[in-house]
Amino acid sequence: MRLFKLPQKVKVAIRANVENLAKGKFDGSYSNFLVRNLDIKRDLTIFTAYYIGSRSNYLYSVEAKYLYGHRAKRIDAVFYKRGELFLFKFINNNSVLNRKALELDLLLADMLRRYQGIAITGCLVLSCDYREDTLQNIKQWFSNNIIFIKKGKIFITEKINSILDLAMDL
Amino acid sequence: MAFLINRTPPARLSCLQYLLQLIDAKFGRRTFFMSDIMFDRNSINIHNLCKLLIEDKAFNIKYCPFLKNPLSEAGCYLTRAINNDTTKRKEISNTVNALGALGFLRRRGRELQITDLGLKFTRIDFKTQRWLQIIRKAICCYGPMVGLLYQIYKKDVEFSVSNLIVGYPNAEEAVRIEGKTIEISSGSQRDSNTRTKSCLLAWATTAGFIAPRSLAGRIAFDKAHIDTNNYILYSTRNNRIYRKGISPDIFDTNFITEIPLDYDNLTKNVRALREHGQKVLRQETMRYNDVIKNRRLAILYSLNKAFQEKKLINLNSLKEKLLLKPEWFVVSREDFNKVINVEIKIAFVAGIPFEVESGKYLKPVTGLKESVLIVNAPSQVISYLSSLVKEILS
Repeated sequence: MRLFKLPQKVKVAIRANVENLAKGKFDGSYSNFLVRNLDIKRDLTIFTAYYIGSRSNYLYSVEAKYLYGHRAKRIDAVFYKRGELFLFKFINNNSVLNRKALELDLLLADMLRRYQGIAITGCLVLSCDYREDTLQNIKQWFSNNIIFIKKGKIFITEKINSILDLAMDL
Repeated sequence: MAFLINRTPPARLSCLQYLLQLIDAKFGRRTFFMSDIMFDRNSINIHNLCKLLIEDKAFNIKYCPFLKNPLSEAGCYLTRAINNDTTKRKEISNTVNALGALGFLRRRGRELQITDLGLKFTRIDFKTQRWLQIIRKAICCYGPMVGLLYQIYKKDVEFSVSNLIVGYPNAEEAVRIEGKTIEISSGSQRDSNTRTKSCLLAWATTAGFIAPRSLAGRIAFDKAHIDTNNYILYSTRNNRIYRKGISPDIFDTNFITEIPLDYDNLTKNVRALREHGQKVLRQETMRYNDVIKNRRLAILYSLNKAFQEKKLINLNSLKEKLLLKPEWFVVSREDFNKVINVEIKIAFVAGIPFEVESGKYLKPVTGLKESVLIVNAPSQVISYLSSLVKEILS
């Protein structure tokens, strides 16, 4: 059962640097958004960040910036709490699953090299149709800690103690 | 001055008209600065005039339909807000450049002023034929549009837009610096090309010069701006196959492109090459920027003289003459021949398309307004080009 009504006006933290989030500091800003339809990736991203942020004590940012390669990468959402960093990517289309998963794995490897002493987990939030055996296959070639999260599972959780609790059992 | 537009918000000409109405209401014929027309909730703003706003009664808001977030402080997709994210300042700059490209705004340094044509356009109802006539005339003044329309003119009735050239040519010219090979960044990037093309195609569609295949048979070309309006107002327009519409009638006459790219805009803004790890690339590109502008000017200036005298340019002779002044025109003598063969495509971007005859002669199809082209060009370079031109025309 859903714990919220849509459309809903929410205020979320945006555009912080991952570098600072990983130190427990927030250098972004706050912005109001109107969330109307969770089938739209942008609305889903905003609302997930808001939802988890308001049901836990994670420091977070939507569109978090991370200097990597040619120019700063934008990560859909990043959460931080006591030495644990979670990077969220939202996937609403099966055809981009492989590419996004690979990108996230590469980002994670780079961050682990830069931020020592922090546990970093990648989270792929799935709102598309998927096959469990495909996810199992993809999981095999991850070199870092990446979990899959079902969109629905986030929004039935009343109090989120740890993002790891949202992981799918694979 | 004409810049190469490379953002998509000005694609919707009705949005530009609302912005011009705001300019008229706030400043009339007085000069103003870019920041004066950015969205400002505390002052008269485009929301007072824009008829495209969406009203959400449940939340008691009216918002720009093209902003992804209805509650965005940006207010207007064309200009963004004065207090919004500073990285979005490119939008207002690009919008002002688009208004300049259409002849609706005049720019002197940082000062802007609405033109007579701009004032006239503010007062014309979108639903009238006069609106369409003004737009047809205005978009045919802009150099990059003339180049694009000529490429379309040469195509079949139904064509793909994927190989139309709208950005700065990319000669892939390299220099050796401290043992490393650095490729000078003188050409438009793919994403920039895509954005420029998207905007120009939308303008041409509004004018009825082309129509996406999906609208084929549903457009009356004497009211093309009305019949294509829903398509133009889509948040994304991904059609790749278009059909020719009404002919712009500019290629079989003595047509002069009124607003070609000017000297300062013959290269992209290299100060913007600020991505991570691009310091050396930026330095080297800036070092050769004047040389690249000079050689592009040489191509355009010669083509225009050839058009005026109804002659052809001998490309080999032009190359030989430019090689005599390496400090002005040459980055690498070894690659020069190959580079100029690519660089001549600047003519399509600047507004003087050409045909190649017998493999080495260039025949311009239109002329361009020389007084605009040479603004800020070095006088010695102009004198030299003026002296050599007779020897390369045949």
